[in-house]
Amino acid sequence: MKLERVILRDFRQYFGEQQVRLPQHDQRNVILFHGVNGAGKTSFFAALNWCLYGAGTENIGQLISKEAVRRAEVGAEVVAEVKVWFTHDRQRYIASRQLRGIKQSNGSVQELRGRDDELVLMRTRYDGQSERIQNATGMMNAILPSNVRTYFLFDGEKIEQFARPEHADEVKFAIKQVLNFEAIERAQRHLDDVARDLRRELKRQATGELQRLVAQNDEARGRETDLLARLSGLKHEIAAAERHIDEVNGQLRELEGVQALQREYDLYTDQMAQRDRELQALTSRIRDIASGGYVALIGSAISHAQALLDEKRQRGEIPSNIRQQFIQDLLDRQRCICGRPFSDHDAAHTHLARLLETSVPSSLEDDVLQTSGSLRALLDRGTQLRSDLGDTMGNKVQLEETLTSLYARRDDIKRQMGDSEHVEVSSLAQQREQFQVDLDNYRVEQGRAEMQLEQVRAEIADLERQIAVAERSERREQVLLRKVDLAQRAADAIKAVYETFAETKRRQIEERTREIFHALAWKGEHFQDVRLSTDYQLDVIDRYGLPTRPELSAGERQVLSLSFIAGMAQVAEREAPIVMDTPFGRLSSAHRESITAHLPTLASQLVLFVTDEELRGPSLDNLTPHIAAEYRLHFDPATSCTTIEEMGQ
Amino acid sequence: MASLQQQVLDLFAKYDDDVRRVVAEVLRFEQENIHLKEPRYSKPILEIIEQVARTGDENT
Repeated sequence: MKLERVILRDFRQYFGEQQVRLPQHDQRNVILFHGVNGAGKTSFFAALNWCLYGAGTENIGQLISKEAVRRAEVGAEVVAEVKVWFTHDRQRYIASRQLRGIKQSNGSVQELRGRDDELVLMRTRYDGQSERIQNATGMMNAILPSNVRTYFLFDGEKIEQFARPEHADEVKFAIKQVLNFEAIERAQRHLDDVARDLRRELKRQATGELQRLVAQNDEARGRETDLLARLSGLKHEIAAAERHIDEVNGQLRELEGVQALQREYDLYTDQMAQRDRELQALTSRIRDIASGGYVALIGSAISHAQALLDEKRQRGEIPSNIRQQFIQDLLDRQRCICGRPFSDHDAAHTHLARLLETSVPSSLEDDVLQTSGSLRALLDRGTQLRSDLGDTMGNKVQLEETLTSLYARRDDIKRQMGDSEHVEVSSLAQQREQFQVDLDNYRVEQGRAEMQLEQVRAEIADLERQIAVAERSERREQVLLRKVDLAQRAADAIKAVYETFAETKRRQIEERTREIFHALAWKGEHFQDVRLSTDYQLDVIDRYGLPTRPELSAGERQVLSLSFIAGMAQVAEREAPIVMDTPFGRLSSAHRESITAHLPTLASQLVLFVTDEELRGPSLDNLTPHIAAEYRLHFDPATSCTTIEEMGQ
Repeated sequence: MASLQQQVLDLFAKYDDDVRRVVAEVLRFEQENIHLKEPRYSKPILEIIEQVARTGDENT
C-alpha cells in the first residue's frame, strides 16, 4: 500500500478543502509535515486512521470543522470528509469517509455517527472508470488489516511499549497480527470446530438402516426363490399326477366290463371342467357388476333429486322442459303448436308470453334438461344392475348345483370301480383316487404358495422402496463423511505447518530487528545483540552478554521498538507506509542523526509529522535526499484553522 | 521474495488440491474478518467445504 493523495474537507481544524500529494520516486520516499505543537499534525494523522479504518478518533472531540459549523445556518447539514488515494498490488484505490452533522440552535453540531459514515472504497480501472468495492472493510483488511494499522500508523512517542519488559504479550500480539498468525490460528481453530460439528451430525445420521433393509430384502428374495422353486416343483408334481390319472383312465378304458363306466366317468369329468370354467367366468362377472354397485344403492337419493326438480318446475322456477327458443318461434309465427293461429292480444299469445318471461337462459335450460336426463339414466342403470346381478347370481347357484350333482355322480362311479370284484379295476380305481388326492393336495399347496409368493413380492417391493430412501440417506452420509474428512485434513495441515512457519518467522524478525537496531542505535558497540525469544521477549544484550532492556533509555526503547516494527514489516513483506507522528520528540540528537540516516530504508514510504525542533541540522540533512514532498501546517490563531502549504513552491 | 500470503499458501504445496483450496479460502475469509473479535464462521466455512467437495466430486 502506498499513499498518493489525501484530501481533507472540514475535518477538525482543516476548514474547507485541503489537499496534499504524496509523490513517489525511487529514492525519494519520505513525506514530511512540519508543524508546531497544536498545528494539526495529530489531526491529520487521525484523519488517515479515520478514513481508512473508522478508528483513531476516540476521545479527540468533534470531527466536523468548528469553523464550518459556525458558518452554517441552524438546521443545515455540515459534512466532514476525508479521501485517500492509494495504490496496492498495482491497483489504484480511493477510500473516502464522510461524517454528517446538523447545526443546532445553540451553535453546536449534532454529529450523526454510525449512519452514513461508512467506508466507501473505489477501485480505478485501466480505462479510468471507477468501480465501487462491495465489501470495503473486507478489502481494507486484505490490504492492511485494521488490527495491524497501529504498527504502521503510530505515535512515535508511544511506540516504546514493545521494548518494555512487561510487554512481551504485546510483542507476540503484534507478530501474530502483522504476520497473519492470528488468521492462521483462527482458520485452524474454526476448521477443527466445523469438523467436530460435522462428525456429530454424521453420528446422528448413521443408523445402519440401509444394511438392515438390504439384509431383509435378501432374506425375502431367498423366500421368493424358494417359493418359485416349490411352485415349479408343484407344477411338475401336478403334471405328473395328472399324467398318472390319465394313464389310469386310459388303462380303465381298455379293460372289459368297465369301459362304459369309464366313459361315463370321462364325460362327467369333462362336464365338470366345463362347468368349472363357466363358474369362474360368472364369478368374474359378478365382481364386475358389484364394482358399479353403488348405482343400485342410491335409488332413493335419485328419486328425491327428481322430486326436487319437479317441484321447482311446477313453481315455474325452472323451465317445464319447453325451450325458450321454441316459445319465441311460436310467438314469431303467431301459430300454436297445434297449428291454430293467434294474434297479439288474445289468450294464447298472453300465455306464451308469460311462459317466455318466466323462462330462464338457455344454458340453464340445457343444464336442467341434462340433469333430469342423467338422473333418469342412473335410475335405469341401477334397475338394470339389480336385474343383471340377480340373473347372474341365479346362474351361479344353478351352476354350483350342477357341479355338485356332477361331483356326486362321478363319485358314485368311483365307488363302483373301487368296489369292483375285478382286482385290476379296483386297484386301478384306488390308484387313481390316490393320485387325485395327491393332485388336490398339490393344488391346495400351489394355491397357498402362490398367495405366499404374492405376499413376499409385495414385501420385496416395499423393502425396495425403503432401500431407495435409505440409499439416498446413505449418499448424504457419504457426502457428510467427505466434508468431515476435508475439514479435518485442512485443520491438521494448518496445525502441521504453522509451528514451523511461526518459528521461522520469529527467527527472521529477530535477525532483521537486530540488523536495523544496530544501524539505528548510536551506542553500537555497547549493544552486542538483539534477541526475540521463543516466548517473544524482545531484549538487547550488552557487551557483557547480559540483557539490558530494563536499563534502556526512553529513546533507546523507542529505537528498539521502531527496529522491531520495521523488521516485522519487512519480514511480513507488507507493502505499507510507515506513518509516524512526532517520531523524534524524545530522542537526543545523536539518536536522531543515527535514525534519520537509515529511516528511509525501513519502509517503501515514510510519512513523518515533525515539529521544527525535532528535525533540523544533520538529522534533516540525512533525510533531505529522500524527501519527495514537504508540507507546513499553518495554524491561524485568529480562525483556529490550519492550512497546508507545500514547501519549496 | 513472495508476498506473505503466497508464502503461507506455499507451505501447503505438498497437500492435495482440495485441502489447499479449503485452506486458501478459509484463510481469505479469516483475513477479511480479522477486525471482528468473534466472526460468524460456521456457515461460511461450511459453504467453502461444500463447494470444494462438490467440485472434487465433479472432477472424479
